[in-house]
Amino acid sequence: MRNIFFTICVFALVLVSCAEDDNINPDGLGVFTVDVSGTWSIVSVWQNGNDITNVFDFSSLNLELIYSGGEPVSYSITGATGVPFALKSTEGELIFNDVKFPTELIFLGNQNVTFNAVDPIISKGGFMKLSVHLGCADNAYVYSLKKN
Amino acid sequence: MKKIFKKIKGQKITAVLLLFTFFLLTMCVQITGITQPSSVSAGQLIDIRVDVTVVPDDDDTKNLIFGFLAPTSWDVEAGTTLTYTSTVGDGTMSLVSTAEVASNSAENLSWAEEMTTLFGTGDNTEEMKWVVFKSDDALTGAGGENITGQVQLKVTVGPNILTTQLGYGATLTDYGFVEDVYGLGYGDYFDVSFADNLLEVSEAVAVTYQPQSYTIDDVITINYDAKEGFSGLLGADQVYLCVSAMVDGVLTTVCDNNSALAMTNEGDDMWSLKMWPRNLFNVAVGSTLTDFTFSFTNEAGDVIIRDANTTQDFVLLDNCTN
Repeated sequence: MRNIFFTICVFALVLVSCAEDDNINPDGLGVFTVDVSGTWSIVSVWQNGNDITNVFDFSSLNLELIYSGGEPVSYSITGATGVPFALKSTEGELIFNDVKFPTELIFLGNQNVTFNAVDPIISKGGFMKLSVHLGCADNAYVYSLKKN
Repeated sequence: MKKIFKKIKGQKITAVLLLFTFFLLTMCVQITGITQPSSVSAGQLIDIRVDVTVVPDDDDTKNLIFGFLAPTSWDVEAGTTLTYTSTVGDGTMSLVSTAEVASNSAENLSWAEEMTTLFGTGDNTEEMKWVVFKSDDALTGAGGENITGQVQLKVTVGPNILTTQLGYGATLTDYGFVEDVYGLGYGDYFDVSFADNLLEVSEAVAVTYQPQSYTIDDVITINYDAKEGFSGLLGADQVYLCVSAMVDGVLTTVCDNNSALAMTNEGDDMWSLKMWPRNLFNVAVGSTLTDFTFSFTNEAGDVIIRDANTTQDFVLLDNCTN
């Protein structure tokens, strides 16, 4: 009986240790630069709480966030003509207000545009939700993006 | 003594008469012709030509004063440009300040007040006003030779439907509107009507926007109530937006009934369109878009609804304060 119990415990430990959690810092309590590199597309867009996703064709919009040496360095966007998206440049420099716990993604270009994280940004996560103003500061646009 | 006095008096009268005749012969402005449309549409830009002859004093150098009698509902001050061509040169004319006192005015009135007092407003039943312009450069007479020329007016007709008689008065600075040194003429009556397909409605009652505050970069919903104002689009099967804007500094108009301009029928002749202005012009990322204006039209495009206050397209003005 004791052997069976011991075997089950060891087996459980093995299973738990195999689980990969991309939300947890692999360096234990240490901190690291959040990684959101890759190409992102639009899932939904809301204006002041009203869903406007289907009013425009966001399906061609792709936002590529580019890293170098583990740090965010630049972005490029395609398919944004004709759809309400805040960026005024097709490419430019990308910086975070805090590379470890970013709440603002700042896109530099013809006009600098700051997207605010609605939810905490998860490193290597597949989704993120960002808020931005297109025109008047009274109007908030929330974009849900998924990684391609 | 009586004879001497009589002789002096007679000489004096003769001298005054001679001087007056000389004055009449040597200093006067005449309006010799008026060319203007016989009927016009509200909001239309029209051309008027007034033929003027100036009989100057020898080597006189004076500016031409030109008064224009028009309905008060016309924004003549802002919507009119005057130029002239003449045998002594061409030039432009500008509004005379209302503070400038007319030459030889018995009551020290401004030019416009002087003309109103002396000439009234013709036979018009409409409320009318004299608006006075002055040549930017002086006209110089050469040896007293007549100066002939034309004053060209480009006038934006006001928004009201009416029948009116326009008037024109001309003189030179220093002469003023005294004696018979000025010219005065009235055109034939003409009707101001709406164009067949051009209707107006007050933006305040027929058009609303969402969200409450916006700039041209926002997603904006335009709501149009076709029951208000003229019934040009009442019961229409489909209403479209026609839009114009400056794209990278170039005036661009889109009025082709494409799907992005098709308004949604909300019932009860209410129409709405949620749009992003940049999308309507397919403006590339990085390009600029300014001066957005729009009108409403039907499928055939033979009815156009514009702003009754301006008789022009509705203007989407940023109202964001943050």
